[in-house]
Amino acid sequence: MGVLLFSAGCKKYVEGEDISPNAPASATPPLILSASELSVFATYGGNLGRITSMWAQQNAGCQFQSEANDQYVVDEGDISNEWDVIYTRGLKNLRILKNQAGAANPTYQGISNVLTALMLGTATDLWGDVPYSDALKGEDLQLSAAYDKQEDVLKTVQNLLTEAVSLLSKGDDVIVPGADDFIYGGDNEKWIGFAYMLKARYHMRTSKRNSTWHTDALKAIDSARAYGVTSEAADANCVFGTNSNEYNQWYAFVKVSRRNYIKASKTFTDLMNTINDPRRSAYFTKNDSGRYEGSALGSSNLKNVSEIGSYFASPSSVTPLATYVESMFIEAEAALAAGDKGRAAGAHNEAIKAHLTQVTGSADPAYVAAQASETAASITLEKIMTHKYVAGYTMMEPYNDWRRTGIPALVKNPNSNLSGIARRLPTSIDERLYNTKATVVQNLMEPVWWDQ
Amino acid sequence: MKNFKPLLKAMMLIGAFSAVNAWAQTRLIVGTVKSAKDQSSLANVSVTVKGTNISTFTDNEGRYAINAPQSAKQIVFLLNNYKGITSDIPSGSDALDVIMEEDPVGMSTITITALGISRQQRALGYATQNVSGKEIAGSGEQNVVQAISSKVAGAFVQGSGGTPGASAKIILRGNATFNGNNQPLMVVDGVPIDNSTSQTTAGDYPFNMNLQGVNQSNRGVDINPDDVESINVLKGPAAAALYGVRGANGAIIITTKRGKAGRGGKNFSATFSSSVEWSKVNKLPEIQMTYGQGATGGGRSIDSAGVRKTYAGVVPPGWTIVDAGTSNPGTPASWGPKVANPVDNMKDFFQTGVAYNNNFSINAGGERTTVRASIGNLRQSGIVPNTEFKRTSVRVNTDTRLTNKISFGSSINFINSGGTRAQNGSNLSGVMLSILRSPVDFNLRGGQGEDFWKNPDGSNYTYLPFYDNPYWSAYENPFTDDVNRILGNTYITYRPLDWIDVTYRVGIDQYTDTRKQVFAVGSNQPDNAPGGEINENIQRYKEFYSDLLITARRELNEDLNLNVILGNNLNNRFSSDQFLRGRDLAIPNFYNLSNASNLYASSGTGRVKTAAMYLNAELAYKSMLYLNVTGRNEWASTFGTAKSSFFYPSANASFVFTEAIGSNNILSYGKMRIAYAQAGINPPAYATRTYYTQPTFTDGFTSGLNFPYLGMNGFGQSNGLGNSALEPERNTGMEIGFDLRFLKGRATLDVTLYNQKSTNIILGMPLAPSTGYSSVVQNAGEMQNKGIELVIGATPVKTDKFSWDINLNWASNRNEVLKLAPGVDEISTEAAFASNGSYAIVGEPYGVIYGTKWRRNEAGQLLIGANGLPLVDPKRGRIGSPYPKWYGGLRNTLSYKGVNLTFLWDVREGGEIWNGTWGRMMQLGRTKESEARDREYLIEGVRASDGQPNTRKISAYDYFRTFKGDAGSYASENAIQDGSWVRLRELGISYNVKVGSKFLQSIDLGITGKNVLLFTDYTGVDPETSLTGAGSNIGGFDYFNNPGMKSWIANVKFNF
Repeated sequence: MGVLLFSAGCKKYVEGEDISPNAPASATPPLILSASELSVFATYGGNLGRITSMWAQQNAGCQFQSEANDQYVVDEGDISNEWDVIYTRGLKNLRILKNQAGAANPTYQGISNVLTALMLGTATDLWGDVPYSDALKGEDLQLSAAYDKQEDVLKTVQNLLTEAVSLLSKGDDVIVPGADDFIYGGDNEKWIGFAYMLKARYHMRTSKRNSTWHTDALKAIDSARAYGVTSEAADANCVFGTNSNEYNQWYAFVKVSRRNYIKASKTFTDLMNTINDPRRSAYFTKNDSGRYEGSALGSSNLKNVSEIGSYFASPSSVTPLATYVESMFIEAEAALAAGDKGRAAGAHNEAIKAHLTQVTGSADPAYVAAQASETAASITLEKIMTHKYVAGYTMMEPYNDWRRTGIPALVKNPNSNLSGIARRLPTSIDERLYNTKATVVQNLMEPVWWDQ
Repeated sequence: MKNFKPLLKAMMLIGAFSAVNAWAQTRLIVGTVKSAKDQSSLANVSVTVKGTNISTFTDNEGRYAINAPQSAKQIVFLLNNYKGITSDIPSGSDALDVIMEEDPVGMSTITITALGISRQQRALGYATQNVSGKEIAGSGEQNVVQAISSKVAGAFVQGSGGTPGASAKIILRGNATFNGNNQPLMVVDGVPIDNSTSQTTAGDYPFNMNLQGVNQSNRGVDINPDDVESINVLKGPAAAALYGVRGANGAIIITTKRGKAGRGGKNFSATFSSSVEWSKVNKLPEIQMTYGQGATGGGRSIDSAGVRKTYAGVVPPGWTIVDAGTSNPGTPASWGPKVANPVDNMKDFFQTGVAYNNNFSINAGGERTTVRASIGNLRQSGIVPNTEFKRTSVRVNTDTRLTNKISFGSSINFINSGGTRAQNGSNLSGVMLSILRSPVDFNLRGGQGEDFWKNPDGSNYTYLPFYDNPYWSAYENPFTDDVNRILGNTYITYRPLDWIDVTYRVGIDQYTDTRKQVFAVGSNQPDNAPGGEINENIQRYKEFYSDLLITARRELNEDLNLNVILGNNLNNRFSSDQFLRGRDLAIPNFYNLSNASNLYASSGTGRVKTAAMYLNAELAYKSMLYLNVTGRNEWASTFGTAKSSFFYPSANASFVFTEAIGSNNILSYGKMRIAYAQAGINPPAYATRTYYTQPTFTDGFTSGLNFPYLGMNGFGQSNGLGNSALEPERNTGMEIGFDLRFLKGRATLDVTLYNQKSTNIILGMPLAPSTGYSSVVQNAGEMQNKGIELVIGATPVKTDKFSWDINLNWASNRNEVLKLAPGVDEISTEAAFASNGSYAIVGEPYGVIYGTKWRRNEAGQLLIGANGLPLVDPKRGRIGSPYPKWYGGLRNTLSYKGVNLTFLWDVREGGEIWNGTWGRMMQLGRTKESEARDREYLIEGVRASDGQPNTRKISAYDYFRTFKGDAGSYASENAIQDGSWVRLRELGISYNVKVGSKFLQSIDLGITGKNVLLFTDYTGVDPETSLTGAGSNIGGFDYFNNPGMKSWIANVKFNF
């Protein structure tokens, strides 16, 4: 009797302390959108962009981990943070956002789709086969996820974007996105334009695999133009701020946390010096001799060399996700492939001029005369891709395009034991260890499906 | 002393009244207890009426008076180091005088076990080991955990480096759980106290703060070792029945000194002790003193055009090996030219630390009330400039026997502790990071004037603009902490019947830890705030603990005694953490948050409540066989609604077989013990649900992106998946042991074999991120600890004037992870570096070091690439294990008249350390080995291409940087080193001067050497080092850890 009384007392004593006072049990769509967009900025602005920029030889890793990355030493543990951000903070919360927003809030749903396509596309570009149809089911205690073939993932990307356009066209939302949308401040038209830019990008991505890719890409480009992708105002950017937790991640890495790890690559500065590019002063710092000269491939030289400049690496510089200029280059490449050389030349010229204006404030006439005055007779894929490479600094597109087209011609780092420049990232260690259904690839020379 | 007398008189008066009350049923037995040896009176002899709870102690004249029931037949007399006696009460007389014989065998030694219960050692069915207060004091350690080191078989103590106040970790019989606490419960005077080690972590800090920051204290450091009477270490889960879940990893039972009836006719005594300690750094890595700063320099082979190249076989014509590079101040590397006048920055940096420790205690005792009050003050400066640790402790312990039925008492301890600490580890402000990388052509003291770490304009005077000058770190970026703590408990015991005691005890442990870290404007750490930073952190802890104990003791018949304890326990622990940060300081050197233009705050609280009912029953047959069973049902707040309580049992037996077969001249005493115990462990707080959190984003290189962002808040679902179906974790142990004492105690052997298994382990089970989550709290996994503990004692020589005692303790533990979740064979146990971590792998011991490995062929040879360097395995794996194969301590004590000489050797065999410091210093050309750079090297191995032996030579530059060092394509396994050691942990000489005056009785003089000799192959600092400290389960990481110390202590103690 006494024991029973005590037992009841004991039970009562411990009751009601199981819920955390430190974290909420749910959140609203605006809060989740902000969190999701930040996951996109972290993914695009951070380590993946740095690694691909080194592999595209726009930057050079001169010290410590970056020096290793430059030699294609990136192992399964080196990219686990990035993989984790894409899935556990990006894709998962984007899915929750879509569910929570519900049919009453098609704009949030559409934004969720666009960003999902962007993150999934990035993952598949770098890792090939990735989980999606079977992924994000941890809450149902499904603790392993089978990997989808890249071909299917790219179809999913297109489907997500198609659905996004229809959702974003609906309007009449209960909750209207605003300042919580760092990218476009809740502008539906711009989001639709972004969706079409991505559609074009991923059609183009299959150029080695799909002979009619250019038709699809041009169709998407035309739609993008119809939704206002006609100037840099349409650019989708990672936006950063002046507080240290908001810093542009190139700035945070190169100027604050890991100074001297990464310098500009001499391959890249040589290229821009050859064409006397007016963007150099925005792109790079000068070396002690007052020249723009990066660190030579494999030299690890960090003395008296240029590094990424203030245009890309200031506290609140933007890092582009998808831009008008990129869409013009896609148009040029697709038109060339479709045999419309005049359109290709026009788009090529416009892309360069727009980017010059964007970066330097004007389109230097001498430079335009030399580089952006192509005609149907003079335009070549080499020219388009080289200029896209120059304009794409800090994006992952130069590396993706190089894998597709081999332009510009690059040689591997001589200090590497690999047979060539790495063509992918290895499977994250967390997938190898904890996902029994993972497709594990550790050979960095094994090309992804669209690269074959 | 005068003030005490009226109080004591009043007490005696009350006592007299109650004695009258009790008169009717009892009779008063009085007598004296004397020693057989010299007929001297014996004080503090425990006197108990057999078969009852009625007991008292003899006074300083050896007298006692006890109210025995009319029916009582015998009285039991017990005193440590004397043979216990059970004497018949003479019929017709109320006087009973006894004479006790000395007992060198120690057959009736009393030990304080769980809940402060005194038990005869012979009755214990499980292993415990006692460390006396004298041994604690003799160690010279100011942290009670560190003081146990190498004195207890099976207690693995790991200090974290020689900075004052740095934490020490203790693990008994191996790690039992993956993510949770693996350290034993610390108990002071029957009440648990907090011994956690916590870092200051901002809510937006995405990494494991244990990898950098400063060496924090484990909170056990607040206990003044001078107050410690003894420490009893309960090694297995046996303590859990009485202490609950927190006793699952064993317990450290600290008993503080209490007031005693005075000696030599006085009822007042006092001691004053004072010591001074001088400390120096005991071991530093060897550095090269030849080549200066530069990145493109020495040790390269270049062709005739000056281009760096490697070649196979014979040196091609026209090629040269360059040993003089170009100087380059833009690099932390020392691959530059030879330097004419090298500077040993490292040697110059460390200073002699000095500690002053003063203790004063008074002891007053009357017939019914005893008091001990003490005040201790420690002030210790470290080997790193501007570091110190201070502690002031005031403790008052009182005990009163109000009547024969009621006694009560209390302990109260106020502590103020804290100090100034230096940056450690992977940290741009880290003291060692900056010193070890500093080139020999740069004098760290070469700045301006008195503040020689500054440039004339006040900025950081440093060899590389990205690292702080270590003097700048020490002087400009101090971390200070200030802990105010109250430990208190009070108890009252009432005896309603002769054979029943009811005790209620309440304890509190409450502290506030106020911490402040400043980074001066111009510092490189934290890397996001070149404009200076202030961190203020307030951590509060509050624990309420109560026990209601009903103890019944019955003599079932002449040979059979039953002792039953029925208990109820309530425990309520609350902690809170407030963090405030200000960045971008407007006015340099003004450290108030008002000076910051960028503010951030984060906070959190946690509460865990448990309640339990428990039973402890002991049946004793003569003084030969003892059976003990326990059961505990525990309720915990952390289960949520799914489950509320769980039960766990234990049983043990002790058989003193020499009582049955009789002792002989060889074997004087023999006991066998066998025990089974299970402990249940509840889940951590708030693990049953999945919450939404402000996410943090980082790639591991920058501090990343966090909310609030551009004026907006953001929440996402947490990466950690909750689990509402959690079951308690179980730790089940079996042990068997023998306690054998030979030749009348001249030789002793205590051996224990144990096998402990943790099942249903609760862990943050890592998940593949593709599930949307990175971990789920789950019952998964099993782990086993098997081992042997040996304690051997011998007294080879013993004469009236001279004695030589040897004491050896030795232990070996084999830990094995038996099972993880289905389909999972390896899990990371705690966030660590991107390059290597701490893992649990099925079939391996827990906490192995995990990282990159070289690729090898089946014969184990390295596979070498075309450039002459080995290839790295794309798959990471186990590269080392931080836990030793065995470890032990060997103490020799020589006594001649009043002079005592003792030395304690500490041996640790095995236990690997990832010497990340060494790997990085190799890369930077700072190690002594990398001085040999005017030649080329050939790495032994086979070519990956054709399996033929490698012939391609490489330059010294490539050899040290990318093979030995951690540049480029590098395997962390290279930096795994054996952390074995032999050290003279303690060397003490002491002398007791008998003064014998009425005022001053004696003086103790002593000199102690701490850690004065160290033998190890480890190439870094003292291998007793821990980057992550006692607050982490990670072991064996050394990445620019602060070095260890050796010291000499001179002390004097006056006994009044």
